[in-house]
Amino acid sequence: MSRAAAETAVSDARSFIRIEDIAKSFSGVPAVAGVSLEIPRGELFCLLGASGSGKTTLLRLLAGFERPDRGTISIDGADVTAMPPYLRPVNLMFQSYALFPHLSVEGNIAFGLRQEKLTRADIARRVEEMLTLVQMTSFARRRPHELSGGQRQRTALARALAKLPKVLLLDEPLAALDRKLREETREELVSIQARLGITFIVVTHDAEEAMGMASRIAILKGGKLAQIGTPAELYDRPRSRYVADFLGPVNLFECEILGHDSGSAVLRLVDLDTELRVRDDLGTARTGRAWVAVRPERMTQTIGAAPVGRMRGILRAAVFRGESHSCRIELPSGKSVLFTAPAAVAIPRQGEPVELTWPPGAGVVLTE
Amino acid sequence: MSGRHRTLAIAAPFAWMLAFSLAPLAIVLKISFSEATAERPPYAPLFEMGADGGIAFQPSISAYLLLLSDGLYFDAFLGSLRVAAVSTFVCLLIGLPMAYAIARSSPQRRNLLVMLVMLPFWTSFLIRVYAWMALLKPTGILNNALVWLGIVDEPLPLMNNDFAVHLGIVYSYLPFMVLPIYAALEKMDWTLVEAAADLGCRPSRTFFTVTMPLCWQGMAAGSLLVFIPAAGEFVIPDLLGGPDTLMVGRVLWTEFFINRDWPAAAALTIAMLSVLLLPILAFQHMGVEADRP
Repeated sequence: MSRAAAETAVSDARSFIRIEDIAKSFSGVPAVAGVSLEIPRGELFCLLGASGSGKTTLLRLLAGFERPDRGTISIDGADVTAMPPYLRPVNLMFQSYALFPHLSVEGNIAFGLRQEKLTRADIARRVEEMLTLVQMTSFARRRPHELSGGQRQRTALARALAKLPKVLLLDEPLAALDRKLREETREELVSIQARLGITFIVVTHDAEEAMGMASRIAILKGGKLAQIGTPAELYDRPRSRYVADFLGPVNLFECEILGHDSGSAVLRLVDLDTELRVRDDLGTARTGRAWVAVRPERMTQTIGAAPVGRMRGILRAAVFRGESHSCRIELPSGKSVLFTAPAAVAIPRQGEPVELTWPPGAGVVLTE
Repeated sequence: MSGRHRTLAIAAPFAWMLAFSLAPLAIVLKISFSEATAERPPYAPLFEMGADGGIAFQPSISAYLLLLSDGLYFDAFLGSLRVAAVSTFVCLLIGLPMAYAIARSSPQRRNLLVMLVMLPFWTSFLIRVYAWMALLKPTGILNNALVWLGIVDEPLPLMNNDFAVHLGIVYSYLPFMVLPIYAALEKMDWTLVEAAADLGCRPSRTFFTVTMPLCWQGMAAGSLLVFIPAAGEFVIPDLLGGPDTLMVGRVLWTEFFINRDWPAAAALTIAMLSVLLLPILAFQHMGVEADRP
């Protein structure tokens, strides 16, 4: 890296990729409606969202296949908003892999390199490196239709990485693989990313997958950014019911905000008919409804007095998961509450009463 | 469908082909090995009852020797192949972008455009060629318009020359080029074009490195569908061509109906057929190669 480039890297460390207020509509329907993001160099960043959340459109905007209606995208200090895809320092690994059927594995990997002014020897060397990186050396001469799904995925990865892009975009990279292979491939992607230091932006609809690989995640909803943070931040401190629910099973207890006094807020849990005192960081929502979100694994069965929100219900379902039981109880109000009990703990039989609570700090108060 | 029904379904068209395509061809082949006579029919029988009661087989290759001895036939061959090759090339130049544009348009529009390509088939081929005569002749619509507009002083010689023959063939056979290429492009995965762009390939280059290799079978099929009938074309050179337009179709006509030398005409037919079989065989061979993993 030249000195000038190194300096740019230092000065722009936090905003290697800068997306500013980007928006894109298709025949009047907004797909991305004003998203701003900054992604530092070398990060493995995930765009997470349900279908229709705008994550794929955002990826295509980054790759250059779509022109935004407004907003700008800059990469490493250069504005690329109006740059066609073939000039961007970005490569995309397609969800379908989009391997050229008329070219061998080698030919596919060399394709991008042939567009640059490289000598034959340089191209051959780089192809060799990439084949080694993804462990495809012995399949170099095969055509895509002679490869397994996992091998195709590796070829697509090698092809996209061969040009040493500043940013690698991955569209649902694991979606087409079976469960076991998905686990291995996820680890491999993370390790390759760490080794090469290339910024990865992964689009996925699978929260577990995103949490398992990303250093940070942006959750998209309806073309807007719902929340951005590390997997742990998003999981433990969601700011909305949507985010809480998207990242995994969660109990949402509806409350009324009764009042505020000396730095704390008083809530009444509707289903439990008990009051709860929490730190008053509810922002502008001074009165009205709120929700307390508690993850099933943070719920505990009570023995004796419960510190907060004690509830009594009837066990309706229990599923053995190996390391734990996933249980559901029904409160007298009809509301279902999920909890995870360690496998070692004896659980009551179905139809028997269960008392649950959550320890202080396990609940998050949400106002949207 | 049961095996029996399938056999029947294949057998029916097969029998049709055998009766109306191969049988006449066999007759033509037979005539080509006969001697020309002034009788009716104008060729000597191939099998003759001898005086001793046996059947004598008397093949003659004099018709073929005639083809070799007279340079006219060779020139007619070359003329046909040249016109067919040029027309096929022009069809490819026009048809490929057309097929590409149709394949890239929206699905509703696509059906309309394909229908428009096939629309000329609703009118008789002969009438369409006559329509070109009305357009191209010295007092035709085109020349009248040009003279009236003052662009030219005298009518342009648009008809009865090689230009008109090429124009007629390209016009008539263009759909046969467009449709197979369109069929190939329509099946193509367009994310491959995006992938090429993503890998730094400019659109013009992508066309040659990705799109063309994936639709060459359509291009080859279209080229054959234009080249073969164009080489044997009779109506277009006869109506639009000039006195110096020398094509096999015309020579054939002359041999059959003017000179009444049926064996020579039949030999010419067989020779032309053999020449045209070559590209078909080459295409099939390439197709087999391409399908091999």
